[in-house]
Amino acid sequence: MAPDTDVELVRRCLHDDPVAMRMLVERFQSEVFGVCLRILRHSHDAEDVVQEVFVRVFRSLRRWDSARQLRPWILGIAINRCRTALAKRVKRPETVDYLHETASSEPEDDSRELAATIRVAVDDLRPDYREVFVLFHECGRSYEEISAAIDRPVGTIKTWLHRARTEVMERLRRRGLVPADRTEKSEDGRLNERNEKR
Amino acid sequence: MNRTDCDTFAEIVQAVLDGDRPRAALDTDHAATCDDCRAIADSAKSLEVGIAALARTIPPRDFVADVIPVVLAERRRERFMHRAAATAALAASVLAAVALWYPTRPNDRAVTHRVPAPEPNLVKPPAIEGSLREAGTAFVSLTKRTAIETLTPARNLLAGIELSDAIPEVDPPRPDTLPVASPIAPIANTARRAINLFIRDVGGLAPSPQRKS
Repeated sequence: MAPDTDVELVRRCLHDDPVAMRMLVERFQSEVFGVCLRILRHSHDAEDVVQEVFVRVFRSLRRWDSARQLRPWILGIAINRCRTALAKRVKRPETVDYLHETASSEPEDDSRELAATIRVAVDDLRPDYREVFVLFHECGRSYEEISAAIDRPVGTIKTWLHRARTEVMERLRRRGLVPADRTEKSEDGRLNERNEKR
Repeated sequence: MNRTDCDTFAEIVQAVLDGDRPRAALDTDHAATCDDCRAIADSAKSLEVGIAALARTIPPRDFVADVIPVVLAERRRERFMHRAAATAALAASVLAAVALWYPTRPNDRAVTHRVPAPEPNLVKPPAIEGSLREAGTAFVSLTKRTAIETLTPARNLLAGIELSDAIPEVDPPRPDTLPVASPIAPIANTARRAINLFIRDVGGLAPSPQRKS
């Protein structure tokens, strides 16, 4: 019988129920892998970290406060493990590898280019901005959940996300991926304004 | 156009990107007149489209097969360590209790006081003074006996001429001194014996009854 709530699932896991443990991993592995892959930008590293994350989750499951949500708690562990992995990787040449990335639906060509540019822009963000951006836009987590996961106030999360979006949008503008008619119009308008001022 | 309108529009952009407001909320009058805000609105629309097109990441493999055995093995090891620690703690407690209780047992204390531990069988080395005293006594005894055995015949010989007093009595030897017999005693005895024989042969003197030894 599948446990309905996270509390029940955790209770069974604490009794070493292999079925419950399997369910917990299956329930969160996609999300954890997504976060790890986006933060680490390397699929093999992400796989290793995901495995480590779940081992740590089960090891620390007794310390989980059932008054809190399980998902942000697991995502918090994932982010911490990613930070540790990044710290270890400082001297190693960084490689970006999205070999296992697959699309749920085939996007149009413009959208694909747009997505690729966003991906590069996100990769260039500051680590904490990147974490917030990934958790919000790719994992669909709320401000409160992100706040719980990375242990920061909601206001800080909002600020970081706003800055992350601004940087990504700036990158899109520089790459000319913002709708041409309006952007060109605006840029032309700006140029005209500047010329008029001169 | 003022700064307040731009700030308000920025909030609208964030709300749209948060998913709280529809994309159409970006088409405001302010955006139509403010180039900066219009550029931001266009970028936000592009960002929204791009985020929707972001590929979902699918785990390349099932982590269950990797994770569960590791976790279960770790749990077993943890349980074993807990049991070992508990056993060690119990053993230590028992030992400590015994160590505290043993010396305070009343029976043990009585037995300890009543029956002292047997002394080891030590062989004392002989004292030099005692050995010397013993050797001296034995020497004196032997000397005395020899002197008596020697002097008795002479005494018998000299009994007739009453020379018994001529033979000095030998003082009983003290245990801590060597015998005090005169070194000339044998010579004197021989001389007396010779005199006695001469007197007897000459016969000038009345013979004295002779005892046979």
